[in-house]
Amino acid sequence: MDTNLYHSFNARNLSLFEVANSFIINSQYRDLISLNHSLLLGPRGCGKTTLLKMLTPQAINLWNENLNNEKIILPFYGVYIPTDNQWKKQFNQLEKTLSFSPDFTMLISKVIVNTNIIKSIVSTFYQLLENSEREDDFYFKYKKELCIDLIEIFKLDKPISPDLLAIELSLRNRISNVNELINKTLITKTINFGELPDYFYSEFFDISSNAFHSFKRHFSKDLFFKQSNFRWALCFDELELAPEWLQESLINQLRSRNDQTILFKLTSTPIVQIEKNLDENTTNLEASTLNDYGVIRAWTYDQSGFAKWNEFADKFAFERIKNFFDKSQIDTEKLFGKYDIDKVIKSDKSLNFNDLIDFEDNQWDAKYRKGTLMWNLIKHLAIHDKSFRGYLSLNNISYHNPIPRDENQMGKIFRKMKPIIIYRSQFIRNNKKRGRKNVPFYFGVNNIYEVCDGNPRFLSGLIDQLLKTTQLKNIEEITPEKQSEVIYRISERYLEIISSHPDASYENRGKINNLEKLIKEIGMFFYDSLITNDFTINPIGSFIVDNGIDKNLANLINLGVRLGAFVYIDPKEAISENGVYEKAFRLSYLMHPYFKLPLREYNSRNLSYILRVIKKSNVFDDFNLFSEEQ
Amino acid sequence: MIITNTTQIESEKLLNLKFNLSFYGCGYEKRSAYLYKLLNVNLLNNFVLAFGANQDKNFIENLNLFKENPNNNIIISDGEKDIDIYNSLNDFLKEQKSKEEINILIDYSSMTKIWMSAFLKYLVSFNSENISRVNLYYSYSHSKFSIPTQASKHGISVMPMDGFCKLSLPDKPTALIIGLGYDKNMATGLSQYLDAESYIFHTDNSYSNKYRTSVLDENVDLLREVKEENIYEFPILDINYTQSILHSLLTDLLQTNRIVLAPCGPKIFTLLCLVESLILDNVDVWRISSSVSTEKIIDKLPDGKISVLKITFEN
Amino acid sequence: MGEILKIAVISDLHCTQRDIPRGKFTNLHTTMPSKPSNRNPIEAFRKLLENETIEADILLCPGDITDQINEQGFHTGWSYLEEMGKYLKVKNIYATLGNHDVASRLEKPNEAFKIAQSLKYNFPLPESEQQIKFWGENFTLIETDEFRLLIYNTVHDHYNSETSKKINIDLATIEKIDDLLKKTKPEKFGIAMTHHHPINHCNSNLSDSDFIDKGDNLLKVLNRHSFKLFIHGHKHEPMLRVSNGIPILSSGSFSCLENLKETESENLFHIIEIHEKKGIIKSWEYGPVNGWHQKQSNTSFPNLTGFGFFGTVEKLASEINSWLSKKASSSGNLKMLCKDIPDIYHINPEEQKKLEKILKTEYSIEITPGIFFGDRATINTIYE
Repeated sequence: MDTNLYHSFNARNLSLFEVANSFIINSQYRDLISLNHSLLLGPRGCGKTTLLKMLTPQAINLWNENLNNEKIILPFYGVYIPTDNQWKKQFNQLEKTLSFSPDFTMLISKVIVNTNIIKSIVSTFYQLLENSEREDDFYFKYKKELCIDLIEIFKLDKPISPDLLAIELSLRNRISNVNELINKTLITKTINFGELPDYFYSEFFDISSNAFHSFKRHFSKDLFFKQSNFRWALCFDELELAPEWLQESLINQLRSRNDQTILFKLTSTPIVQIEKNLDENTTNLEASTLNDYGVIRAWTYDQSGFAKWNEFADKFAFERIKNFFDKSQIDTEKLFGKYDIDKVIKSDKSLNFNDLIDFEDNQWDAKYRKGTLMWNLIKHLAIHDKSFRGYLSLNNISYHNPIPRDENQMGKIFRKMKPIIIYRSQFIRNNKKRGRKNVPFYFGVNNIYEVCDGNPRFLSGLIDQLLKTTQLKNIEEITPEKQSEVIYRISERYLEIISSHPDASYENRGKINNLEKLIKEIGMFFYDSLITNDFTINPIGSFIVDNGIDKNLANLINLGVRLGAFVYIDPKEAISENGVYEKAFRLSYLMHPYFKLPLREYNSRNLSYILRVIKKSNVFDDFNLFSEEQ
Repeated sequence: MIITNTTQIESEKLLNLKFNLSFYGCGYEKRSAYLYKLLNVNLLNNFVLAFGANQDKNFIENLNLFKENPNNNIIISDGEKDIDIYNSLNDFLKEQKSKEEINILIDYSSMTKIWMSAFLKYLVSFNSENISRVNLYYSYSHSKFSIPTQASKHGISVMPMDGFCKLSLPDKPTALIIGLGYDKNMATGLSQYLDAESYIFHTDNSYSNKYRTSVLDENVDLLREVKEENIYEFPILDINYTQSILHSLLTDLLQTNRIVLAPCGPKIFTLLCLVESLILDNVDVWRISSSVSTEKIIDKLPDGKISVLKITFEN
Repeated sequence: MGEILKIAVISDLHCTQRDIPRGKFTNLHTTMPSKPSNRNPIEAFRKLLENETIEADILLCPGDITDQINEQGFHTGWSYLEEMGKYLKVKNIYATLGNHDVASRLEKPNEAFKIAQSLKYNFPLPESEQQIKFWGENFTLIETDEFRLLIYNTVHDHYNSETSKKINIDLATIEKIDDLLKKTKPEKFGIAMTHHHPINHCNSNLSDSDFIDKGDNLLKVLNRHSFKLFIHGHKHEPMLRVSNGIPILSSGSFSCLENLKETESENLFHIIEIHEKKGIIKSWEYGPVNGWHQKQSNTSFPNLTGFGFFGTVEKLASEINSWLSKKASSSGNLKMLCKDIPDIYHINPEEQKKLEKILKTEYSIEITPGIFFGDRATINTIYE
């Protein structure tokens, strides 16, 4: 089975044309295009790069060319500034190689970063100017004058043609020159700081600002830019991969109002950790969000987030399915059906509920009256699960006739215990654990969206896998069993992929600790809380990183957050000196199928407590989640 | 100096060539000394790099064989360091006066990646008015198939290889080219780490189908996740052809990508990756290693086949 | 004669079976899955033409359709050419034989041309009269309203390994050609095609003994009759030069991998646009990821070059300088320049390099990134 979780739909590898063609406007984008600084946070695959790329002039033009699209007019021009892990590793390597001169390393780092920013600015100017196919003299004149300015601002080597492409080539040569300089320095081990070219000492904000002002100066008279307000947004992607000095500088910029023509649109992981000195106002970023800065969280952690995600996912799935079948109207519900507890229960042959009654009125207790499926299920579980029976007694609910007393009890107890009962009934018989493979817990349109937990990349991978199980000619609903099987496998593969990440392990006193083990320990604890241990209506389904967790483990958790394995559920701080400490997380819903957990968020417990309990119990080593029924 | 030519030569031709220098790796593998015995080389400038660690019975046997010739320079060296190679090359080359051509034999069958790359790294920054051409003869003794050890899943570290990685701008996405070996998790991990479009190279069945099958089995998940058109097979015995496929892919990809080469499998492929990285810009070679050492040592017996790649450096 | 004549040139396919030793020397095999499309040069070609409007009036193939006279390769290779001809919407395909299309090593003179002669009714030329001439006299001349096409069979005497060592054209044949050409209309664009090169073509360290002996005589005759282009294959290294007043295009190879590394070349095909005796050559290169594409860098053979300019590069540079001086901005692009000085696109690669150098050193003018970039290349006075 192909599982293309991380290779499908990666905006990093897509052209602006492909990004614009597949783009779906969502609420995060609408927040991002506002006329203020933005800090867009989210795990890998949540769509940050796509959103940033859709701020560039070329992407907007391509989008607007499609008359079926809602027209987008941005109040600024976005300059997309990329970064990636390869680049980060190159910097790390540089630090190691030039460890004898940290000052020189810092200068090199700045030159490379500045060059990257300048190149992105030049690319944006190119998009604005070269796509127009203009041949009038004014256009060439303004362009030439702009280029002459840029040559001076960027301190490029002369003689050079005053042309954007020539400037771009010159910037590439600059990188080659820097590499040569590094090689020479490695051999001679001496650095003459006084002889370094002037561009070594430039500051990126100043050169960016000057470049933008030059553009305005030359093109404000131009008819093509009549409507422009000449505002720019520097869009830094994956801030967590940038050098630390740049991260700090950019975070500080969020608070500054120096040049109102320049906005900053930054993306990063769900928690931005800055350890060094920041302006004290900057850490109070949240308090200022109503004023100048927007913190946009691109993951699902509350009802509103899920509602928006479902809306987006619907459109996304529709397009994906349309392309697959090459047909215009295919209902997602027709393919995936709706989640229905009936189907889950009916898959278990040992549950023989006869003469079920289905009340069709809309009364508050319709689904729980005597003779209904839920009524039978509660009774059944009360027989097989002593602790559950005890719970019912404690709450004065008869296990012979478990009907809710009133609406209050309905909401506080019956509705709340429903998913727990469904799960426990599958895994407990005669007060003992019972193994079951491939229970069809995960199917139906809403579940598919929810299991992807706000992550378009997961959704894309999952839908592709589900579509592969269908027939192209006869479009039928994919059975719950099939859907669940696909989702289980993806969940399993997801865990494997995460655990193979090079940073997912560390050595501690000769022992290897890794993210996979951590996730499994947490997952098992949650499973026990829900299924194995005595029944509780408030099982533990999330954890808090308390101070009992050592720094290495905290780093693993941070990686898990970045990769989307852990979801930050009470986001109070966007920028934190504590990092993951004192924050609450749950497992990504994409992990839940692996641990047979319902797609629900439950109470939190300190992580150090969880790990202590799991280590004592040794259940982790014995229990095989995929074993067949005994 | 720069690389001006690479070509595979028949191993028999080694017998007729005169080498100014030769280097051998001495480890626990029986094939460590296979070429040495075959050539019966009696040079003044033989260097034997002997691993400091894992000095078992095989290693002692190999070492004693090399020691039989008092002219051999035995250097106990760290597989993670290239300083001994640098010093040896430096000492020799600096002494040469007006030489048109220098021939150096390198039996890299039992060498680490650091060692085998050290020669290339050195020559790239070497400049001399006295020497116009240096030919490196990289010789590899193939081994009989042996069942691989279980690769560790954790403790993987990835890093660019020193000398084969330059600073570049991240304005193009990364394309990752993996030479497939037994370390399945390393390949998946790196692919994920770089968030890159992945291309896979693995051996075809022209030489050892057992090896090919075992590698494919080991990496079945990764192979499913990579697009079919991104998977390339190469004939390990035909180095010229393998290089042409690799070179063709690299030059095409470079139009729209930066490239990371991660050779996890056969050393011949690793060598080609190192060469291409020096020929082309924006092509980095990365090492993937596990901090968890596999306890079991696998001996590799020579099967008689030797592949030789001649790499020519000129000013 | 205001129309543009478009010629597609696809040479040296070396089509053969995948699972034989020679199979790895070519990208074109008798059996190839259509997906992944970029790993199949024909599928990639079809995809290119789906996305871009590329058409031609005729398709020329200077030989080596198969590899080492592989019969299946010959049949499939020819059918691939027919397929590509359809995609290009050509009226006709004209081919000649290469040394790989002849069974000279069989040492059976009677059978050397057996496969070629019975390949298909339209091979190597569409009409039977043309074929009779080709096989009988070793050359043929095709004259239409738009052009004159002379095809000479350089392997006509490759009956065995001894005779195949030499490539020649005898004086008698040259005379026949001369007489025939006297009857043609010189205003019609003249193209000659052979498999082997008419003059010396050294590449890298490889020796060159297989050019056409007395080929320069042929060139002189062709020049006398206003032939404006000579196309050949065989060398796998694309090149455009002028000899005896005639531009000579070595078309490189469509899909063979031999000698590419030594000559730093790629697989490619060309579309030549001819207008009033001058031409522009556009070339597409092949890559396993990008399929057929026009490279955006100035390495190896440029993807845009031309022929037919017979002035001096120095004068051309001076004209360009005058043109630019009249611009208020001292700036423009090649599309604008070409309207006034169309010869900028009719210069060969060597002339392009020379022109760019003269512009830079004598007039402080730069074309960025180069003439190869086409209409979107910009032209500016250099800023110092």
